Amino acid sequence: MLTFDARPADGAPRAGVHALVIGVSSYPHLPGGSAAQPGSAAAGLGLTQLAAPALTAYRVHQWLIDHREELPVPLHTVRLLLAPSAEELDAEPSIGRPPAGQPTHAGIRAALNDWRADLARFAKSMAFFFYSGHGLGGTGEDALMLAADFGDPAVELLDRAVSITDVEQGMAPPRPGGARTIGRRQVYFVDACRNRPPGLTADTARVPTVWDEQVDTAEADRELAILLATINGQQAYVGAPREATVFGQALLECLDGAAAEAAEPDGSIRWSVSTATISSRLPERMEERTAQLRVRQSFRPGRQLMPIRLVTFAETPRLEVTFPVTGPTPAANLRVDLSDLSGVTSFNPLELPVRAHPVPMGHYGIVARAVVPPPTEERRAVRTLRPPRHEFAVDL
Amino acid sequence: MSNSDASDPGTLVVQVAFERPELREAGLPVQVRHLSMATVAVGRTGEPIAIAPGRYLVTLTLPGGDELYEQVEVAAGATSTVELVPPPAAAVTAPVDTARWAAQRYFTAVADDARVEFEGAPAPASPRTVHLRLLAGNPLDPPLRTVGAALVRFDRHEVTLAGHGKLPPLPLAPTGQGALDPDRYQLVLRVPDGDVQVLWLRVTAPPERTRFLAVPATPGETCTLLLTRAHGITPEFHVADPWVDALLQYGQGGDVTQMRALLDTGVAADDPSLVRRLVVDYTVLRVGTTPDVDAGPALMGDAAAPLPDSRLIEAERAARRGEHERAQELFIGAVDRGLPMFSDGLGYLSTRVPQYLRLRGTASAPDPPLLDRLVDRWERLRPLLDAADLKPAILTLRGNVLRYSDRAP
Repeated sequence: MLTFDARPADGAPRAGVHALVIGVSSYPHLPGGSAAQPGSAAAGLGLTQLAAPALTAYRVHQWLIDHREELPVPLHTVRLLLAPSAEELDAEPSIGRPPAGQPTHAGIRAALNDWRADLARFAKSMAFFFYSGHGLGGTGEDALMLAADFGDPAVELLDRAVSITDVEQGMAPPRPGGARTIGRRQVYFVDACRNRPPGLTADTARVPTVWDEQVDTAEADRELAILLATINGQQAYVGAPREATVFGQALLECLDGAAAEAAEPDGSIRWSVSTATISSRLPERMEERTAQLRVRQSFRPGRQLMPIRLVTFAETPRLEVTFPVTGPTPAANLRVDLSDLSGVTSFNPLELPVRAHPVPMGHYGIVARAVVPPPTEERRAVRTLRPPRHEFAVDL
Repeated sequence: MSNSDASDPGTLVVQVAFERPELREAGLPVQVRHLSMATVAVGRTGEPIAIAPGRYLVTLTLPGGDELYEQVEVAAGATSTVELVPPPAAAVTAPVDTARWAAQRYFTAVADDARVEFEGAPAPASPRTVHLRLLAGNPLDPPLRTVGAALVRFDRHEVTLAGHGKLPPLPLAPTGQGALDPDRYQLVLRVPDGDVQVLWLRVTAPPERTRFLAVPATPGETCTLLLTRAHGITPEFHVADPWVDALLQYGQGGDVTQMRALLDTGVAADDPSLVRRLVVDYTVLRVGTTPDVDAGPALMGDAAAPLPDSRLIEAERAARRGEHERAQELFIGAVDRGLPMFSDGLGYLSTRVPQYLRLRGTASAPDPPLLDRLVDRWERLRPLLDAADLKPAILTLRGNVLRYSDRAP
């Protein structure tokens, strides 16, 4: 289901981002679902209804639309398939506007084939794929994504699963010389478990292909990045209530600047996020949540992870800086100066009591000191401040 | 002699105060940035970096994930040295045993007074006893055979090696300041001379299940086995080459930026070991840019031919070039040689082959005779795939899954 369509009206091939975003929280055939059957093959897998994937996918969808002017090429299409839970609809009432498609196996398959057709128009286009929902460990680097109708007793279990390897292999460029092409820059995010429930006896290598037509491929000139929420054998987790998943939240933070790197292509500072910088920063962002949730989830780059630029910000990303007072000096008697090291910008941002201050990301000098009674000691530090937040304890 | 001109470049040398001396030789990638944080140069620790005079910010992300940075002033025609200081081990906390955590701990080498005994030694099984056995052979064509006389040095521990009596404990050079860790210890394993092949170390550490670890070294080389006691004892191999080990650790943490920087600054070596060549080629396949993919074959010589890894690297390259029939033959040839040393190889094998099998009944399917052979190798491989733990860079099998014989050849 297209929720954003800015394809050229004249039909001419032009480079654009084509996104397919899928979030599945509600599984009718799994325990707790409207069509669940006790004793079915799916019921024995320990899979339940979820409370964050659809919300996560919706926020990724919104991020794409909000940043459409900052993507490497213009945003041309977004296809959104969602099966939200009641909790997610409550947390984000706008989740159903505009209406998303159904992430059943047939729905996903149709969306994938339409998505590929859009991308087959121009080699300089860019593919963006995001899935959040239940998953199973495939073989090797594969991950299986479960459609909303997974567990339908009328078919084999894995007939309602989609292999990410099958998806990205179906998106590989056709052999040179033919009339067809495909967008060469391709980014895949899979936010799903990769463990094998004890009750699963089926051969996960037998997941059927989703493609209506097989293309003879040669992918040597493809720029491919696959980022998986967890390593094979481990689970991926939902986050705190009303939050995105652990991986999804970390990804969104990275896309919002936590993974930004600076460059000076024309003498002015430009901050960009790429798949490489996301890969470098994701573990740190995920650890913040896994520590709070006391779970174990390890990010894994997929079988290939090339650096592909995703966004260049029009303005320097900002973060929230807090200065918790941990020493005996009352907050009212403290002052903190925050200045960037080039000396171009210097500001004394604090109005005590100390609280959060949005500042542009960058490298800063921080000086904390007591101003009443006459200054006796101070704490100096230099810090690289990155979104979404930084905490600098004042212990004086 | 002449006076330096303001337009002359300066030289910057970045040192890191590692506790372990070998890590100073790793040549880790450092970024030299304007104070705006825009990167203006990338160099290696310990090596001079030519750069225009000015004030810079030097940053380094360690393989364990910690980011170090320091300001430095570089003057025209002069050499400035800046030293980055890693955080003390005591400052490192983590609630769970992640790869990032394990890597950080490795950078603060310590040992303790636990005992490690080779299988066959008369010792009761206890949580402080680890049984080790070095094996050779094709895991897909068992039984493996015991390899004798591997030289083992174990820091400050009594080691009883079957047939060799008790080896004297070696003194451990203190490397930390009050940071001795009672829950981890290490041994150095030297692979005996002989054919180039993947050896397997059987590690049994009650109450954990048995594990089989591929040994990341070729004949005459050493590698380090790290045993960490948290919930049971977890074995982990590290290669002896600190540059390669750093590359693997960056990979474990997903730090693609540093992996690429390390590749860009350090691929060339006078006489790269086979292990270095394999790791470089795997890394290029994973994070290299498109033209890099074909850059590897020149690095790989005949010495690597017996290893499944070299076939798997070639197979993945062929598949990416669209030479699918050749790729399928290479995947079959790799399985015939056994299991690879590195998880990436098994990952490529067990991702590509099912995809080829998935195409059965389509125009893109392999020819029937080739398809039959692919199915045959896949069925042979499948039982071991379920035991494979692809999280460590070096292939690990969980469970008592490989049959072996006590008889040495």
